[in-house]
Amino acid sequence: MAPGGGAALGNLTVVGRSRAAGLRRALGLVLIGGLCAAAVTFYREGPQLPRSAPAAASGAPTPTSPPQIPSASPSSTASSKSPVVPASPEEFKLPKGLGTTQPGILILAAPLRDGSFDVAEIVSLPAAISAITLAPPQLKLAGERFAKSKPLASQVQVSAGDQPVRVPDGQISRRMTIALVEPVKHIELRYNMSGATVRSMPSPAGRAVTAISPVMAGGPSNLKVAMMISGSTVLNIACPALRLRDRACSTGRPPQLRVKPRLTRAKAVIVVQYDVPRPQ
Amino acid sequence: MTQDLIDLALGANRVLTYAGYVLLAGTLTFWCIVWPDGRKNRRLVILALGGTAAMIIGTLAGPAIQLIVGGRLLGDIVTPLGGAAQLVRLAALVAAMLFLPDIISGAVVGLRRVVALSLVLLIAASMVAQSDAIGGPWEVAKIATTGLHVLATCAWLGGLVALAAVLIPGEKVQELDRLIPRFSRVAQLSVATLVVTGIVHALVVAGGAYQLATSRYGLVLLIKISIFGLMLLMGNEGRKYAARAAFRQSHQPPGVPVKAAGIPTLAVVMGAELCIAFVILSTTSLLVMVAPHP
Repeated sequence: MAPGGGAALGNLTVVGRSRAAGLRRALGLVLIGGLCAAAVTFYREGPQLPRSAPAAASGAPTPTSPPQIPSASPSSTASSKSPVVPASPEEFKLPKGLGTTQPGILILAAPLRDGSFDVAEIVSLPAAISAITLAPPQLKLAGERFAKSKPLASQVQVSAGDQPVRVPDGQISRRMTIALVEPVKHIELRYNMSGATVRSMPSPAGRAVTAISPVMAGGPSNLKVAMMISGSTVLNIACPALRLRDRACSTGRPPQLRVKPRLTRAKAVIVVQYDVPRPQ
Repeated sequence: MTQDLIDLALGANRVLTYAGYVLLAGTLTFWCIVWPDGRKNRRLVILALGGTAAMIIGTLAGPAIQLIVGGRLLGDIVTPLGGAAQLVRLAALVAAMLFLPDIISGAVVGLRRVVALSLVLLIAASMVAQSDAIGGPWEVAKIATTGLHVLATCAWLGGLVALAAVLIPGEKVQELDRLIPRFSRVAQLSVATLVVTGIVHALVVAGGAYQLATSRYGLVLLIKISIFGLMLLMGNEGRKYAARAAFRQSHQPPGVPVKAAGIPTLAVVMGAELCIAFVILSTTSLLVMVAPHP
């Protein structure tokens, strides 16, 4: 080795290490910058990205466009029956997905001041049917606390296609089948659901839970169900019929919550936790 | 793959992420607070890099399992805030991996300490952003308690792992009398923080004492607290044993043969503690699954 060769080799090694360190830092800065930019983009654009596909795929509406429940018709009990979060008709727009653009059932519900729920149940069928079967919600899957509940759908209004359908006494307290004038694929029900609310004891005053499930009992058994709950006092939604890890099935934020997964009809039972508004 | 297997994979992935967090953030905290000169210790560097790798895998694998294997859609599994938090965490992990040589190029003090602690805070914040602290009533209280809980966890469990990595091989016994008192102070503060924030968080998430006592969430929490108590007892015994060993070591008369029994016994105690710590992380993973949604 020539005199000074060792020092030269040492210098080369130092230069090589320095270059490697510089490259490492440059790579790190580029990756960090890219990931931070991606994070900001994801946060800003997240709701608008094609991933809003959950609405299309699950049949549930997107978090950014949750619909409002149309306000109830004026009646003598308007003050006690008015939804907690009223919505003007011009604001109301049905979400795409199950019950509207896809075969399935879409349930929109909002708590009323008397503890009952104003419910819209929109059914879209893959094939026309000439009779509909209605039944009170089966709340066995909702848990022990609803064991003694006797849910009653009252003030029931039904539209089959564009024709109104008369429901005996305007109530669904037992299973019934109603023949239609002509086969239809689209049915909409509006009703008041009572008897399925249990006050939580002990709990903050007004805290209650209500079990909600479709009353549409006929049609294909493989129909999927999407559910949305509106109301400023709505706190949470649980799906007690699902497996343990999926039971916390709520998404969105009050006053607009929805059930995240698409539910099968056999498991389409939700428990809504909310505060019953003070009487006014 | 069946849903049960997917659930199992997600649970295991969550444990991997928590373990990675404890290793990385715990080692960085250990360097910053307990032993700034410990950056020369090869085992601690391996712990930090291993933790970083585990967290990167866990952060990527969670959504990947649900997207690819579970067939779910991105909108179903991440919120805008949660997704952004995961990307920020990945950025922090890349920084930890690629800039670690710079952080430990000297004693972890001054600017190096600021950078290291900033990384810990950033990673902890990203975990809070994905937790059930977000949303629902008492959001600020939940975020504060969860953040402190997560930080105290890394300081205590991570410090314990780091201490074990340094002391169990028995080559650094002379460090015992310096490290044990420092770590004890950090551990005591961390445990007190864990207890207070754990109680507050559990009550807020469950919605009250009655709901907590009568829920599955409360049952799993009770199991976790029992294991936590057992670990505290063992930790206290291990600490006293290590202090005695350090005292014997430093006051050993010259020429007297060194009794080596102290360190293997300490190793057993600390090994048991680490096993319990792993069980605690697993029960925490289970708690996430059964926690009431806000």
